[in-house]
Amino acid sequence: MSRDAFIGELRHRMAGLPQDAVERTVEYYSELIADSMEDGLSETEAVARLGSLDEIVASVIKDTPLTQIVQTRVQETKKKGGSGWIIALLILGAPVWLPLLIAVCAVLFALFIALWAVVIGLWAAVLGVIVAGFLAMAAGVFELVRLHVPQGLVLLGGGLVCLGLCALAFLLLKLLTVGTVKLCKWIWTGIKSLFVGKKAKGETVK
Amino acid sequence: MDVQMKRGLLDVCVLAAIQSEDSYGYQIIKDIKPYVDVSESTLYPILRRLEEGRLLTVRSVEHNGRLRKYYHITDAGRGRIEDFKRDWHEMESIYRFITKEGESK
Repeated sequence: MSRDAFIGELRHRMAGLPQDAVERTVEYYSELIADSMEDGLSETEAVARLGSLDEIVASVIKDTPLTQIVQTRVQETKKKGGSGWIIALLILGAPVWLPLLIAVCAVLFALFIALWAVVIGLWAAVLGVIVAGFLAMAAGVFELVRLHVPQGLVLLGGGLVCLGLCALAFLLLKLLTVGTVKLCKWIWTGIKSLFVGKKAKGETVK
Repeated sequence: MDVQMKRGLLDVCVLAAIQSEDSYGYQIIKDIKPYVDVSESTLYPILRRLEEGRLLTVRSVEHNGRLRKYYHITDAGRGRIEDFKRDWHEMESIYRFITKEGESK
């Protein structure tokens, strides 16, 4: 990819981010390309060195707060010609889109709560079984002392099985929890990306 | 390496790369790369973060008919390097404790 094509694509994908963030990023990568080329690399090599555009844009989005992204989006819409009737439509349409927006937010929030409820529930269950395991073992020892050997052995064995299963469940749950945290972060970045990169329909790559 | 740990280390590496003289993006990456794996897209947010935290300042200098950004370390930035060195002594003694425990078992 040539330098100009790279910068053009970078700008296009960052559309919707605050203007100063876009300019700073473009300056940074242009400078790196120029310096690499001064160091003897060809233009294509210099661009290839920078890694994938997806990664670059994702790192900029991660560093920009959602509020700033939305603000830029709103300002852009205002700046565009014919924005008067868009605003009028927005106001007149409020009874329709406002409840919808609230519903979408509520659903997302409910999903988030449900996800964590499952994780917390599973942890609680494991904790319960651990306690049960120890109690069963204690009861087993008690029964053995009272010379009720079969009952004592069954209780001891049961307790050990519980604890063993918990050790396994603990490892799995740890993975699940880490996975859930990653999933939540991923969804958050995804929500932010919704506002970035795609200009209004019909507009072509600059 | 743990992500949080690497993040902190990279901050100090970037500051170290500009502590003796001001430097620019391409040179910083070149200086750090033999020691830590750092890409162009990872350096960018680090520089932004350090600038926002006033650990370094930026100035544009004309070079071959274009502008190049030079990064200059501040006193706070030097302080961060000193903090890291101090923390490292502590880390070393913790490391010795951990490895000693491992051997005796």
